[in-house]
Amino acid sequence: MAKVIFPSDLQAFTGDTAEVEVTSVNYRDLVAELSGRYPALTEEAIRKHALAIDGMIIHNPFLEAFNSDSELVFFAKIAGG
Amino acid sequence: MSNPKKIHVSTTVNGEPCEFLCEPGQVLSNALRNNLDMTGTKEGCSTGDCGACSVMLDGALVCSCLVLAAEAEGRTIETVEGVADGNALHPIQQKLLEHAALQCGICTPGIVVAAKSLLERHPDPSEEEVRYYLAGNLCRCTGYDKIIRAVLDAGTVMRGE
Amino acid sequence: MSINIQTDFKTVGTRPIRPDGPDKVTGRAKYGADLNLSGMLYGHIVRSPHAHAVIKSIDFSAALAMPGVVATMSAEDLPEPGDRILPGAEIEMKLKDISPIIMARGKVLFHSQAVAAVAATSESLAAEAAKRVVVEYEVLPHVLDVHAAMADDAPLVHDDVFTQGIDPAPTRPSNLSADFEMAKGDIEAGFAEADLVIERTYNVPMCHQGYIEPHACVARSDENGKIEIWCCTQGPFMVRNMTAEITGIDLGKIKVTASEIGGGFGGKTTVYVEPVATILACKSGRPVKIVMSRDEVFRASGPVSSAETQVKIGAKKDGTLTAIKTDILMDSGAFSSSPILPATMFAAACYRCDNMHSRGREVLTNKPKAWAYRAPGAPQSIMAVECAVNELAQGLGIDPIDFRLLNAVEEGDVPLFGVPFQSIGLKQSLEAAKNHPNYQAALEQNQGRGVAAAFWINAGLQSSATIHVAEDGSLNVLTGNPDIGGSRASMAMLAAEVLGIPVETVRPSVVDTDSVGYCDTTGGSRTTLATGSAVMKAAGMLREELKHRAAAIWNVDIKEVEWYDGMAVVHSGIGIDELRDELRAGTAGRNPEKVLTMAELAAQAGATGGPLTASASVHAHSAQPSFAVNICDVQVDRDTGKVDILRYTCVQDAGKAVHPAYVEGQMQGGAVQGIGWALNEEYLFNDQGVLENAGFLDYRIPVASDLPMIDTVIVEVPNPLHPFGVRGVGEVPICPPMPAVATAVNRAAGTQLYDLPLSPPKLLAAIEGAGADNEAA
Repeated sequence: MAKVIFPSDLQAFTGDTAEVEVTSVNYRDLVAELSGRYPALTEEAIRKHALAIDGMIIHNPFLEAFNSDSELVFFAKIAGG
Repeated sequence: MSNPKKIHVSTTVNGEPCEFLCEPGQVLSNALRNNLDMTGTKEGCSTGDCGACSVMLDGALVCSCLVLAAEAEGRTIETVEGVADGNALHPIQQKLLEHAALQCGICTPGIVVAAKSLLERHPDPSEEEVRYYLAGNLCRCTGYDKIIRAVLDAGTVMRGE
Repeated sequence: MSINIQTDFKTVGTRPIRPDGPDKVTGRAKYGADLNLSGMLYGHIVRSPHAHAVIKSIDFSAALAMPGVVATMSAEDLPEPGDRILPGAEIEMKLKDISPIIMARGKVLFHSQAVAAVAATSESLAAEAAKRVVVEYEVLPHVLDVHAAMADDAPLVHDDVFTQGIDPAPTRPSNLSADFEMAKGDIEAGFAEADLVIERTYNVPMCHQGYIEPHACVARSDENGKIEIWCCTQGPFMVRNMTAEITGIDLGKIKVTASEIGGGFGGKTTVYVEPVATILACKSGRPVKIVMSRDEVFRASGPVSSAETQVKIGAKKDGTLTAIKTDILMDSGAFSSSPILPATMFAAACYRCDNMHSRGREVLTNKPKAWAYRAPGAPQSIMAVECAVNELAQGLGIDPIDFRLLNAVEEGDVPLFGVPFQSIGLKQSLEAAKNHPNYQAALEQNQGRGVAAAFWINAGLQSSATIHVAEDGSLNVLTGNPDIGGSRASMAMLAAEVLGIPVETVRPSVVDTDSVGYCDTTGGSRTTLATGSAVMKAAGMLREELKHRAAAIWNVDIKEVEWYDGMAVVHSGIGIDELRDELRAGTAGRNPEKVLTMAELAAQAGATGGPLTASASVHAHSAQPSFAVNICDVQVDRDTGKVDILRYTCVQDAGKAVHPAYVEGQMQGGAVQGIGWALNEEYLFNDQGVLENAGFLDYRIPVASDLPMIDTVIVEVPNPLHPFGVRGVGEVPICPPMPAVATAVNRAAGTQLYDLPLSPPKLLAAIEGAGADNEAA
């Protein structure tokens, strides 16, 4: 099972859960799985974040796949100056 | 405001005779750039603080944003466009390139004019002298290190060492 | 995830002269204000004299009565922003936070906010006409200080801003626009474990990016509604998108050409004048030029958020960090746009520590809208943490570099923001700093040394590139990223490296938005990494195509063809290694049966399938963090409070430096910007919200005589996700200077002054205060 880590702003929608395991192996399924598990966590809120998959930060992970042992971290989108 | 009549100015720019019409309040940097299409002289502040508009006026280094265009009458102006000899770069230009001493390049024309003026007056300046001579030419990109090295190196070339 | 990283290079790592250099040293290069078109009008913007007021009416009649005044505009000419979110932007941006910067709508929220504009036949006439625009205001109470802005009875900057990030969501609007926390471990248990705890507050002032070239543009429209914009910007595609959204003009009708750019540092990642010139051009049917004055640049373009940061940090006697707590309060000016997120996330990213807590609050005030500056947010919060780390190390009697080596993050560590580090170069950078001769230099009386380490995340994002091969085998490389510090050189070098050809045969260009695929803005330390990756991908595609063309000419299977040193070679029955040995030794000669050069393949392109060209695009996921370490030595004049920088040393992990001279340039330039922020630069507002130092005389950026040479050491710990190991390099250099300088000054002066800038009068007062304390003690 892949591990998902929520930043503090998303924890507001997960009942303070910071870490969770998921069965999904791609982003599309992940969004559905998470928003199904936490009704307050909308797709819109999830899609505002970048996703780091095993340390690789992906701003728009729409089509990304990952492994069942991947570590997934939602991450604020930052562009720089 | 009624449009005041323009002033006719006859001057010499980079060794060639030159005439233009300017407004009474127009400054030299603006006339060079917009009347004569010599946009190598840059404007960063229009208050004489940044040095991007440095030109030589009768052999003196000035901020052309602090000189009225009408004051150019009968005088001699040298701008960055006149520094290279045709397609042969001046040593200060060549050394700025070799030392990667420009990033955005907006301050570079002013630096070229000011550094050339320094090396013509003081062929063998110390690092400190270069720093003080160029203290009126702001550069926000480089931290000055490579510019100072390039000017010192250009001095070596100009001295024939 | 990892890939094979090339370590043997022909071009990467060398220092060729930048291709655009001659144009820039001769004055030929055209910047934003350097374009004049026939029939052109000059635009001038009318700005608010109040920090907070209702706009009751705007009367253009006196201005329009002047001969030569052709067009006017105000927010009336722009569509209502509503709740629209800017499409396509990487970071969520609300149109209602951007459109009012172009033209205030209903209210002005800071002094010098744009209210109206006029276009006339000369600059002087436009300026005069602007004075005759009559704007009637109803002045409202304003608020300038972040603490005052958080009071219950403070004037509201916006009546529809509710604090983001707190649960439950507030029911009343306030000036506190965001308040969020990140935590791991047990912060109180961490402090309980500590033998020494340092707790202190640090202030970093509002400053300006200070690019030397003011914002400038020329816009024109034609009979079909097509708009062309010439402007100095970090992102022509961003200008296209934002101008379309702000003006309501179809994006497809707008073409943006980026001029050369005279500095940006994040400040030119948005628009100020382009939509105004566009509307005036549409209304007048003539080209319109707008050039901001330096005064306008300071008053009305992106200043940088100030920050007040409280740090509490604890360690055991052996130097092990046990807890780090930061609480950051940022002034965003009149709209939510501060970098509070990265400031909060990255404050202590250099350190491995089990117990961390970081809180970030963004406050709105009646000041200009804050905007990005080089590693946005990180310098402010890293300043606080690094100064505290220095004090902690000193208190424990541990060398500050040794202390950092003991606690530095490395591969596998998980920072507060959650994304585990891959291969990174912080420890290597610390070792290099420790071994630098400047770290051993003796210090005399009134001299002091400061050390600081820093982190920046670096961006990837989207880029495109197109490569055309000319008939002689030379290359045109087209991208859409303005060259702000030598990126044409790196684009050419990356293409040359992939194809194994001389860099002199590659001509890189920055082209307009009609002429290349989409590119995100030059910024975020991303151009060499992301746009470079698009160039490398296109060059790789071209290399494969060239091999196919060679196979066709030789009438052999593609498997028989290799690409070596800028040439197609055929195995001809011998192994590729053997062939390479022959080629290296020169014994293969120039047998056309075995070898075809770029030039030969290009000459035969017509016979083998037509012109050779390749386009590629990427959404780069290969960005990885950068770390930097600075050492600063200063001397303090105890009679005047003046600080002289004696020695300055920058160490940075560049991954792989493509053009080392321009990497050094980024390190040196960032260091000096940080030195300026530490010692001199700050926005000074009067009690009416009017900026009192809106010029380079009173807003003093460092000049050549303020500084010594800036020594650099490039460390190369390859980025594991990039085929050449490249990391972004442009932003992290500004993160360590403030704490390095502040620590050095306080050590030299015997003070505890952490309210930047450490300007002479402030430092003098602190020196006198410290002296009085000592006498009292």
